[in-house]
Amino acid sequence: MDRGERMVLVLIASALGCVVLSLAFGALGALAYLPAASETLLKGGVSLAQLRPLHTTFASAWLFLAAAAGAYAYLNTEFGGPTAADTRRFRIQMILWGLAGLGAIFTLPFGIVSGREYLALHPVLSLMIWVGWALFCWTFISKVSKGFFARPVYVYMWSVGMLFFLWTFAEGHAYLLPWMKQRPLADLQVQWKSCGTLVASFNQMVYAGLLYIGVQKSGDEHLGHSRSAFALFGIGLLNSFTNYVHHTYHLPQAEFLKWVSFVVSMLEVIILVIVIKEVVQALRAKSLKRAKEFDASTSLFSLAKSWNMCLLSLALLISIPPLNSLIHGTHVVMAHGMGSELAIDSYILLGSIAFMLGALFPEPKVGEALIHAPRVQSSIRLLNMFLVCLVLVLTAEGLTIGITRYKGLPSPEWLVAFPPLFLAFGVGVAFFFLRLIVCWLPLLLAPAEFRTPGSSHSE
Amino acid sequence: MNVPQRKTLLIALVAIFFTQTWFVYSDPIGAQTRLSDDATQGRGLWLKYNCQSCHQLFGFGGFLGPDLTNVASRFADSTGARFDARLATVLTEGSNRMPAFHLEQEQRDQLASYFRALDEAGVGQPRAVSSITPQERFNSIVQDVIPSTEWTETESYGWALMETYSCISCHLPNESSSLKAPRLTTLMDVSGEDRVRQVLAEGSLQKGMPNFGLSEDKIEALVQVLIRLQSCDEGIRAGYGTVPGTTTRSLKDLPWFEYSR
Repeated sequence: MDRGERMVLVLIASALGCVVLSLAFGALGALAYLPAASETLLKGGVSLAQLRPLHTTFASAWLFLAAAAGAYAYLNTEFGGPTAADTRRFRIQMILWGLAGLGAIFTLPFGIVSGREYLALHPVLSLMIWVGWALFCWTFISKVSKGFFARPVYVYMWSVGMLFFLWTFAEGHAYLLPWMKQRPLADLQVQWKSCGTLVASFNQMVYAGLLYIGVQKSGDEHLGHSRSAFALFGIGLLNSFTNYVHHTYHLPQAEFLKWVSFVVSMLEVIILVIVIKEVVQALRAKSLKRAKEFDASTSLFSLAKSWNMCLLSLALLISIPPLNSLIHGTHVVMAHGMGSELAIDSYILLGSIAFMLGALFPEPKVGEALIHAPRVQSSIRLLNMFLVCLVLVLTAEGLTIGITRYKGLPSPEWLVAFPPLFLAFGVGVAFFFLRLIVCWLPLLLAPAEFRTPGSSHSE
Repeated sequence: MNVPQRKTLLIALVAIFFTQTWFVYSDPIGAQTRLSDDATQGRGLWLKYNCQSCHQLFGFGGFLGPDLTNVASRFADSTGARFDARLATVLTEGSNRMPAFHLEQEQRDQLASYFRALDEAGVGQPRAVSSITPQERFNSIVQDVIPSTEWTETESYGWALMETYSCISCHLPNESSSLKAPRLTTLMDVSGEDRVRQVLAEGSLQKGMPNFGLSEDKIEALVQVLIRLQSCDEGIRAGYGTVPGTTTRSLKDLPWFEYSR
């Protein structure tokens, strides 16, 4: 295995390690919603104040590391193996990120937190992440910068996503500024601007990977250069800049920002129409021709597309200000956020990982026994089933709370069933996600055993 | 798409991003609300203890506890003492699933300042505009169901104590509150009279109920009024939604942007 391939494998392994931690902390956090379990946790000195930041930190790490793996896989294919300088930068960036991860495990449970939602790490650890990311950008941009504008759209998306992260991650720490400390509304505005565009940053990178794999699988280079591809990139990015304001419609701020967000958010209906068309076409094609063999990437990408249709519809609805006010601060937001991160981003990333593993371990028997094994297929199916239930329960709970809160009505009795349902479906999602990862674990733990001679890129 | 078009697209997107950023950073409305030194310290405590993992401000945060944006006005009285007392209890002794943070008086005062500043800054949750407070609404419903001439002297005293101690700040009359305090009108059935008397006498610190230091006659009056309210539970529940003096709570009245008080 050459250096470039090892880098990709290290990133995949790191990303999957982070998602395992995130799922574990998330499952424990769900226990905090049950009164009896919560009491036991509190007696043990554990509360949601520790578990939630651990869960969200490692969830973010999973998304960014897996997306970075895709970018490195592209670099290997397009530019050959890494140079010595690339390798040095990679080593430093992984050491920095590894230390930040360890730092998170040893600080967050002990109350050494920033107190910020989704950016809970101590600023010193954030700085390590930022520097590591800057090194990653250096490696990528230095390679693609020559003839950049002639490159396919996914290179634009990776580049924009990476550079965006540098800006927006720094922006998320504006709360440290003395001026911002005294202005809570401005703080919230900038916090949500940064959060929204941080999401945009990994979305750009995730979709870049998806598009790249689509081009590789289809062999159609035109996909990456078409006018529609760039148009969707433009609309997507434009939404990323302004969309976040739909989280802050209710804050006292300049009204035109809210109107811009609303109007631009509604442009996503263009994307929705395209996605619906693709899903319908895919369903028709599937009914005409059954795939002979299961392919994990295809299955996951296909599911992600269907979820995209549903969650984008939900996102469009809750971007309409009156509906937004109804569900603001309820579990509908959690359904939207968690659903998107799991069912769209994570499915695409898992599919990308399956594709990358297939490229790293091209031996057909490895594919059949591990990457696209029947166990992987059943794990995906059951994971999806539990995720559907989880999102539905969160949406129903949130909508009910929103309506009764607004109208001042009593909460319905059935809401007491929510915490156990949330826990059950959440644990189900975690379990089958982990089961899928376990199928691929041998490839990460002992890659040499599954490589056939002559399968390295450098040879 | 050809290269010049791509360059134009990218330049346009970058320009839009920086323009949007400039507008946000220079927005005077967001910058208007400024915290006092005490409130700034309170904000520091909010971050230090990671309160946002369970609580929300302006709807942002965790879902385990309630939104605290307007908690200061929820417990408001003419002197502010009721809010300070409630905050002191919760922060020193915990409440239900909230751990006890054992904050000092100065820290509690700083947090109180922070919550008061946030309360003035905006509204955290949308509610249909109502012309009366929850206490007034409860009073009005109960008066319809139990005319004042039908109260005994002890029950009237208990009723007045309920308002003094603001029981419905935590115990809602006809539903479980987000603080998980039992419903007021079914309390006697759910907990039993002996337990209710015990809690009124000693508080229930693990579950967030303070010890109010009530005398025997106050406890007796409160028990009597709770029994009476329980007997009228159906009527009181039916009364919600038909109280005169409130504006119509229609979904058509949902706010477009900022929420009304």
